[in-house]
Amino acid sequence: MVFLTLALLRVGKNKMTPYSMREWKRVMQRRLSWHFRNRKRNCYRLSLCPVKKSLRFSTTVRPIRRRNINHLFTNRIAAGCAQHGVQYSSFMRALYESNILLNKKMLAQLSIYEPRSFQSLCEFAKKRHSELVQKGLAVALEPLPSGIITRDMIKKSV
Amino acid sequence: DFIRVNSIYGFQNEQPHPHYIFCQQWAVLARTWWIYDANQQCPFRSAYRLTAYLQGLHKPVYHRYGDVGDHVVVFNTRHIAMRGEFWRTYKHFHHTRYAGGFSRASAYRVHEEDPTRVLERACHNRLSGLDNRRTLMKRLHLFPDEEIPAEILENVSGQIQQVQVVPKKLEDYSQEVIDSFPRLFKMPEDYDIESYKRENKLEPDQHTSKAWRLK
Repeated sequence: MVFLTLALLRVGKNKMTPYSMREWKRVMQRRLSWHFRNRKRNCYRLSLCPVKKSLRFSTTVRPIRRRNINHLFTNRIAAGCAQHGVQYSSFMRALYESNILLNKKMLAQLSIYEPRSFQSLCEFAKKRHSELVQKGLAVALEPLPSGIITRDMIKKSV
Repeated sequence: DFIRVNSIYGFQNEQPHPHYIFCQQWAVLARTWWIYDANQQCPFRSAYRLTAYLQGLHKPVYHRYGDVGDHVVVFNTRHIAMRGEFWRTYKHFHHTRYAGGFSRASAYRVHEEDPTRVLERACHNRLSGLDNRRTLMKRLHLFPDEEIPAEILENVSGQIQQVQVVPKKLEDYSQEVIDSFPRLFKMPEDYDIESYKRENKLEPDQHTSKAWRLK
């Protein structure tokens, strides 16, 4: 709360205010309770406790808020990926392994406001996946070095 | 026409940046209607997908308070499939809020009464914990067979993919295909092939007395 004069600060701190200054307390309370539900939004006495609670929550709920916003970003990125046929987990993994340093906030913003950029990121993830698959297949189809016998070779000879 | 998009995070006191206002796309905020065929699908796995569309989780602009969900029309709920013994063992509970008003019923009995209730309950249970559950359930339209009113069908503009592949039954194959299928071995002539079709050979729950067994 911003206190423009020392007098107002005294009014806010002091419970025993003169009748002429009564409205200042209510104005300051309404600044904090304008977004509440029901009568505690408009009535001073009913909003005393909820306002205290909300001030307490504003500090204790900070890690929970971070967690909620993180979940929201995850959901949004997953939705954006699904539109292009990529899974969220493989998308994030592809970006991490290719050293693309975009955090979840920026990815969520891109998925909403820059759809074509996000599409290109998804295409990148798909291309990387196909390249890895090709690489894996190439390793499997390589001729084995001499001296190694596999079960396949024995079965084929029989 | 540009409309002020106030806040995408639902934060309090967040001021909109000017460029958020100017890149609004009308199709993003439209409420689309999706259709889903529940023939031979698991209700619980279908609910997983359908509730995602109801809440709006398939959209990048998703937010819980944002009311970005879509309508979902489901037909063929009469022909839903549950695994194992669930038709018998999965119970639906009901309490009338009066003394002695508690009742429970197996899924098959509920299905006989109302063929849409099993899937409706599955979706309802999946949306637990949400404030706007009732609103979302109102946007779910269930029909037991393939008859859907024209005014609803008009709105439909997309289809949700089925959860399970519908298997082909023996009846769906033509007699020629069945006859031309190679035979592995021939049964001896005195072997009684039809014994499995007789009474009390089909019933799985042998622990129930004969009066209570299903016909």
